[in-house]
Amino acid sequence: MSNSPQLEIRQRSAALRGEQTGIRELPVVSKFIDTTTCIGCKACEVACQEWNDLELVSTKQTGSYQTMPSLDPNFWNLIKFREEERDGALTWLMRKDQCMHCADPGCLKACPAPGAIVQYENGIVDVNPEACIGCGLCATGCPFDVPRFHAKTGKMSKCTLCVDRVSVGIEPACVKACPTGCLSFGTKEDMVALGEQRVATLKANGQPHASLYDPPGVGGTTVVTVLAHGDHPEWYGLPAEPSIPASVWLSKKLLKPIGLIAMAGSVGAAVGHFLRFGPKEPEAPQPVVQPTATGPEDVVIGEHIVRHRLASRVVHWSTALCFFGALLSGLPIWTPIFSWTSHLFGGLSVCRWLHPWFGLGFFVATMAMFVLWVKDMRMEKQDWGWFGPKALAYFRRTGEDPDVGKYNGGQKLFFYLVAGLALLLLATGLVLWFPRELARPLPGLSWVVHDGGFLLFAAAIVVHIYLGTAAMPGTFRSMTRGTVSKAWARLHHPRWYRETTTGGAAPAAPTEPGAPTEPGAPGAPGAPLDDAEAKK
Amino acid sequence: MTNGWVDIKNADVILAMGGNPAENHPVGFKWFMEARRTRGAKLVVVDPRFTRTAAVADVYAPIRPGTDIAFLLGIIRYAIENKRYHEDYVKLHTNASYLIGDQFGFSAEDGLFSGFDPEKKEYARDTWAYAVDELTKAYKLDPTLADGHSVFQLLKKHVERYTPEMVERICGTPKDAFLKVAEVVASTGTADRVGTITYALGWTQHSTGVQIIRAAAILQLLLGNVGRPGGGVNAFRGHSNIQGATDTAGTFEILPGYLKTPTGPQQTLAQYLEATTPTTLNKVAWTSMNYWSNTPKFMVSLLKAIYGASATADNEFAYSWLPKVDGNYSWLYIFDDMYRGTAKRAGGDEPTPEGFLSFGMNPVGTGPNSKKMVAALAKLKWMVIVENVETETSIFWKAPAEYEPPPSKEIGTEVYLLPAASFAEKDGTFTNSARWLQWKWRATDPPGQAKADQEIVARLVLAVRDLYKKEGGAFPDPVLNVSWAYSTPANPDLGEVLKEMNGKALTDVHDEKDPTKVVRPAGQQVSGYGELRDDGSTMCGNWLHSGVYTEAGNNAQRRNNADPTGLGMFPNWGFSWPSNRRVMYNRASADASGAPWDPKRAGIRWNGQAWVGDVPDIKADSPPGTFGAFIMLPEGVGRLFSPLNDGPFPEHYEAVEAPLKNLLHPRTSSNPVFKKFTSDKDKYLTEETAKDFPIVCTTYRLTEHFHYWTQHHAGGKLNELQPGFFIEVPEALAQKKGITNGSPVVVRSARGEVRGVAMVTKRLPTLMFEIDGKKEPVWQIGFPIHWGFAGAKSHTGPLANMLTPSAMDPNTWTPEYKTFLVQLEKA
Repeated sequence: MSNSPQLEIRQRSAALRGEQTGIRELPVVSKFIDTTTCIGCKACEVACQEWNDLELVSTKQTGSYQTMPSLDPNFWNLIKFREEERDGALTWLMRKDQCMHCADPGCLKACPAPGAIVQYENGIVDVNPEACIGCGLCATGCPFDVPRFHAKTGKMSKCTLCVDRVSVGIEPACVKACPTGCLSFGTKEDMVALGEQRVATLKANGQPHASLYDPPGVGGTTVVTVLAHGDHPEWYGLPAEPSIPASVWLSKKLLKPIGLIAMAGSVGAAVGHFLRFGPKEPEAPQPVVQPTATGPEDVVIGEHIVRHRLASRVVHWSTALCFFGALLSGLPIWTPIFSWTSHLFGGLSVCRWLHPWFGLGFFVATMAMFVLWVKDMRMEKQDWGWFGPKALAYFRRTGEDPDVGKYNGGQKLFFYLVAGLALLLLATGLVLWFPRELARPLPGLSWVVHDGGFLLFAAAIVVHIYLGTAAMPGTFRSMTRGTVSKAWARLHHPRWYRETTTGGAAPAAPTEPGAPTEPGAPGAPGAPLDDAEAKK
Repeated sequence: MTNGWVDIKNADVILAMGGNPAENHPVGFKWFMEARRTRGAKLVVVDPRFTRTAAVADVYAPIRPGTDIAFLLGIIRYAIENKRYHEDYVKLHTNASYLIGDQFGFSAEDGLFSGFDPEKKEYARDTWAYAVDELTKAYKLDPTLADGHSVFQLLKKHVERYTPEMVERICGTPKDAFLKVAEVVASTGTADRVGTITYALGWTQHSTGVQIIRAAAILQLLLGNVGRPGGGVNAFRGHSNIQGATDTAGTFEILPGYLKTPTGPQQTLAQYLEATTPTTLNKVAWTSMNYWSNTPKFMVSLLKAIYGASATADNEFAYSWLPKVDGNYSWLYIFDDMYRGTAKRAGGDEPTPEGFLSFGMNPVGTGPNSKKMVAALAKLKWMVIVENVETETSIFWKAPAEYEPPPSKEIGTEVYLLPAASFAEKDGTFTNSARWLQWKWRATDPPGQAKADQEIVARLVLAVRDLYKKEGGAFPDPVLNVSWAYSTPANPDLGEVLKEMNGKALTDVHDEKDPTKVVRPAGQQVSGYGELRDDGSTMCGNWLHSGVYTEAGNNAQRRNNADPTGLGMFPNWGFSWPSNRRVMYNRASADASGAPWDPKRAGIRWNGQAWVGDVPDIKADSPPGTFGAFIMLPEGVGRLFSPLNDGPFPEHYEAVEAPLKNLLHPRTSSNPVFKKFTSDKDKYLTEETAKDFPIVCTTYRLTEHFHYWTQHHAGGKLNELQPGFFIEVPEALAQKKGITNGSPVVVRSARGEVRGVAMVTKRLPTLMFEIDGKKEPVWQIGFPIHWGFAGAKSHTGPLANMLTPSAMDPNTWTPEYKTFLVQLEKA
């Protein structure tokens, strides 16, 4: 980025502020393509390859004059050939496919990396490889299917409109090489005038459908194209009415504010709830000595009950670690507001690299958790009430349910929600991990679903943490030491308490809270272990 | 080209036929687009395939390969019948009014002109002559064009048969499409409109190739389009310097500047000049400059250039040292000799060629019937290949089994591959299709031991001369006496060579009318061929290029893009032979009074004292009425009637291998005088065997590739633009044969087979013909050249010429690469 006035930037991707103002106004440049004088000689393809020093792309003869099926990270300029018949007359259409450099660039809108895609004041839309993280989201924003992921550099790759040439006042390489004059370069105003003049000539010469392709859906394009069959842009491989895909709007304009509100809201709700209701604690003081469980669950160790055995705790914390890894590496990709969290990992590119691995780890851990816990998570009749009044009563602490087992309905629902969301995030995450491998619009759709899923998660996790810590003292140690106090169990999970202390008999005759049982005393039910043994 | 690349922008109508300029000449094609853009010119394409050119054409008409003459004669008939020809022009600038001797005749039933010798399969041309008035000894003329023996009436009668219906029946072109083409093309038969015809190998590579081009010339003369800016008959050459090669003795029958090669009966210079210097009997309307009457000056100056001081008036300028040909030494004939091991010529049996020196030529790739090419080279004792890549020729003994090479141990050919510089590694000129000599500068030095051609030639010359000096020989004189006066004899500077080609005064050159006046002092470069003399006072390596390197310097290096006429002539850019003339026959751009037919596009005009504009063909100060425009012809006018080896008028003959019998004269279906070979490797379909090969096949080139060159660059990106050999198949035929796009297919001809990927396309139209009373399609397929068994491994493929026949045009001995019969199957 030199000091050349041609390179003043009008807007950049993932910027917290909108368009730049106060910069020097420059005329928008434009490339004019006249498909009616294109002979498909591919001089532009060669010039593009040579000037931009792009690597050789191996191709195979498949029965077409077209060099390759579509653009490639190393092939930014491709003549598309197509045979069509119109009113019995054969036409052989050739169009130079390349980045259209939209006035309203969907790639820039979709790009999550600050400044990775910029639009210069002269209209050129360019990828800045220094900032690009190779996530491929720009491709989901492009209605022309242009940006390509370059596996070797890990960056997105597309036509730059030879910004290096244009910025020093010379035309793009393809225009220079074109032998028939089918390509021209100048100001947008001039090129549109040229195009309109050409269209008028064509119409006068028996081409009533001729038109200038400068689609308003993307604010017009810097590359304007004369089509003899303007009523059939799809014959040329062009969308009839291109616009930025809805996924960009859904993710950026809808889900992002909602998500921010939801995240802030869940934190606020937890704080508010705590202030209003305070902690829910057993009336009796909980024992100070807290044994660490290493054996099976649901056994009583003195005043304590083993709630989570070691494996469960390891799996839970693995899940949590991966979750926060994914969250913190994903948040800066989601919005630049969180760009600060990227520094935890060494920058946005590292985040882009790490995030899918965290995600994969999260999924694996979640599935292990699912297998470990699913037998305790069977939904029972009363659990369904958690979809309504029970949950309300729970949070408002207006009714105690004596029949709560090891997990209450809310916990079970959260369990299934986690498992389901993990599956969903994995599926959509894989699509986003390898966006180049899949046909549109799957990546765009995945993007929206991934964002939506994670937002739900991010909000739920606040509640989960709140409930597991401040709201219910004594809960957190179930995931550290693996044990809870009997008092805790009796308060929060009365049935479970009964079952573990009495072998699952009738709810009658609750055991005296704080009933004297020597920790580690032989003969205690289950397989009592003392601290010393547990530490072995 | 009679005109030039840039001049195409001046046309109102461009007929592109027998060529695919958008594919093969994309850079020059810009002027087609310029004409369309700036003046609304109509581009008309007639081609068996819907080509890249057709893709941007205004009018397209399909045609069956090899029927171009019928199509063109159809347009000529249309122009005559509808009075669309340029009558004033025709009367003034063509031989329409000339009477032909009454022995001339043409049998429409037999398809034969008078003078046919069925034994030799040759024509005696003596009945095809102008009638001469016995008293005045001048050509007989009928200015009204009404006489039945006038060229005009003979032509009119000759083309009568080519009605639009007949064109449809022969060419398969729907009548409406033909009439549309005829109408647009014939619209230029007026003073204010002009059209050009462009062609390339799609016309030349037929057994009737020269006559197709004749038909185009006749049409252009009738429409008054020759000699005018925006007009002409324009051949697009297939290599960057093929025009320069042809100008400089590219083929055996010509010396530099299209002087004729001496033949056996021409044992003395006097005999040679007598036989080759034409005289004119034109004494009627205006005289011809009959420029070939200067042959003695050109020939003597050439001999002085070859033999220097050893060429003297006393030894007839060493004429006796020049070889005299006694038969056909066209390269395919030489290969036939090689293969058969005998060489019979008019002079008797000759030793068969034992060695072969090949400079930048790949006969195994480019010759027809590849198997025979391989087999021929296997019979040599030695072969020297001067190339910058390994070619099929340089490794002919490695040819895959399908080329049927003899077993390696039976091949005694010792092969030397001399690495040569490529075009960018040496200086020199390119002469483009527009006859412009343009100097190019070396961009980089040749790699390794590679040397420029001139150094390789020079070292050979010096070595051979030393051998003759030391050891003597049967006939050392021409070798010992060859002039080699370059400042660095082992590596001549090409600037010096160009100077030699331009010519210089050896002694003072005097004015021919005023011998006291010196027009060129001794030692100076001549300013043009007008200063050449036949007394040994000048030397000139190629009279046609004279003017390229004058006292003013190397004119091929000029790069002044000033365009005073606005017609794109650029008189100070490079040098355009002859005499820096940009449009040949430009006298024909003006009427009898010297006023241009179209003042907006004036080639030259008479301003009262001189002709101004382009460099005129005729003397600049000769008033209108003095000389005819066609200065190279003794009669001074353009020929509608022009004796060639196969007739004075074009006539439709089917290709040697054709799917249909000639509708007009089934007894003489193909060209009665086409040339072919008789060895066991030369296989041609007979009427009987042709039934098994019902599909017409044609060959062509691709813009992405350069001949047989691009395939040699494994890392070269051009390969990837069009990777691998393919065979284009029309959709309907593919459907019939169950062939899908991209699937492997095999094509067989009488000579061999090729395998490749099918490209199923709409671009090969299905044309319908009456066959046994029913309308049936004649299928046609095609494939590009460019591949072979040499080159980067991933880019090898079949040689297209595996299938092509050595059936040749009787005038140029160019093989019929563009039409032959094949079978097509799934592979």
